[in-house]
Amino acid sequence: MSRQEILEGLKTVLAPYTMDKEALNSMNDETEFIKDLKINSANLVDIIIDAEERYDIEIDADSAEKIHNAGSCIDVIMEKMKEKI
Amino acid sequence: MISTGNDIVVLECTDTERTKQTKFYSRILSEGEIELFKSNSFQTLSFENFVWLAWSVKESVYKFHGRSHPHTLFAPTKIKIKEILLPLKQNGLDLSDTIEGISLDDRTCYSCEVNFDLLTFYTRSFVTGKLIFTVANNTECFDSVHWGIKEISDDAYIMQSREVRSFVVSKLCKIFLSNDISIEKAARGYPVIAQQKHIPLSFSHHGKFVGYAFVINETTS
Repeated sequence: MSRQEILEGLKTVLAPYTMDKEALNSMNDETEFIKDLKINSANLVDIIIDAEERYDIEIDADSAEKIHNAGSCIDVIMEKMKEKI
Repeated sequence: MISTGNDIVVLECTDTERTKQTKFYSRILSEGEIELFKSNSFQTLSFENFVWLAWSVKESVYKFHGRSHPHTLFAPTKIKIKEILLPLKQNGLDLSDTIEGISLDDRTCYSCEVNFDLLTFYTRSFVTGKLIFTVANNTECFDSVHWGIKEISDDAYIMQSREVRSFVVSKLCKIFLSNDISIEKAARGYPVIAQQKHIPLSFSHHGKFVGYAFVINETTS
């Protein structure tokens, strides 16, 4: 799965947690979940669990800690998908 | 350095069933905190509210610490609640109106001692049927802590942001006896009083509630 495909899939994961659909549609690697998408921090755990379910992976606490924007989230998803192979 | 950190969780905005699932709460609670819940008699606190109390405590501590350590990552299970003291009496917060105060009384609040990044922090939390509101500090004395909670009519982010700023400015105008009070961002990105840049502010919002906290004492005033 390409980086771009994961970015598009991540938009679906994030959609229920942001009202800023314009920012979501234009999301790129630098987009920060809280600052740019205005996602409430209380939803961060939901997002990690939803991403795990969508990509059938497990994101451990150390990896979750690295997620601060869309790019770092895609990095973690790609790393965990590779580990499955 | 003076710092501040607060958080608000509106319980109807959380997913109760998901909160009770191990895959959810294990990302917030450490093993020690799960044991803390089991060993205490939290008759007035359900497990799901305990999880959100812990979240609120950790988020507040992270904000407090983040003012001076902006590159610290938020890893809830690494912020460890060492002790929780229950309030002596159930608080009767009337959330139908704006609530503000100075100091947070351990007789009406849940009081926590928290370890993070080799430091010790203290928190005070109100837990009501509607929400959990927490303020963090680096001492056990909360006498100089100003705080406020307000219900708003619209949960859109722009309204939450506007309402919390207007709420805190109104309070600061009363404290400084001035109408010339505004908010700006410090170089590290957190809000401060534009006319008193050494005084940091902490804002929180969730659903239709907003909250603030700041410290004014002999050092800051």
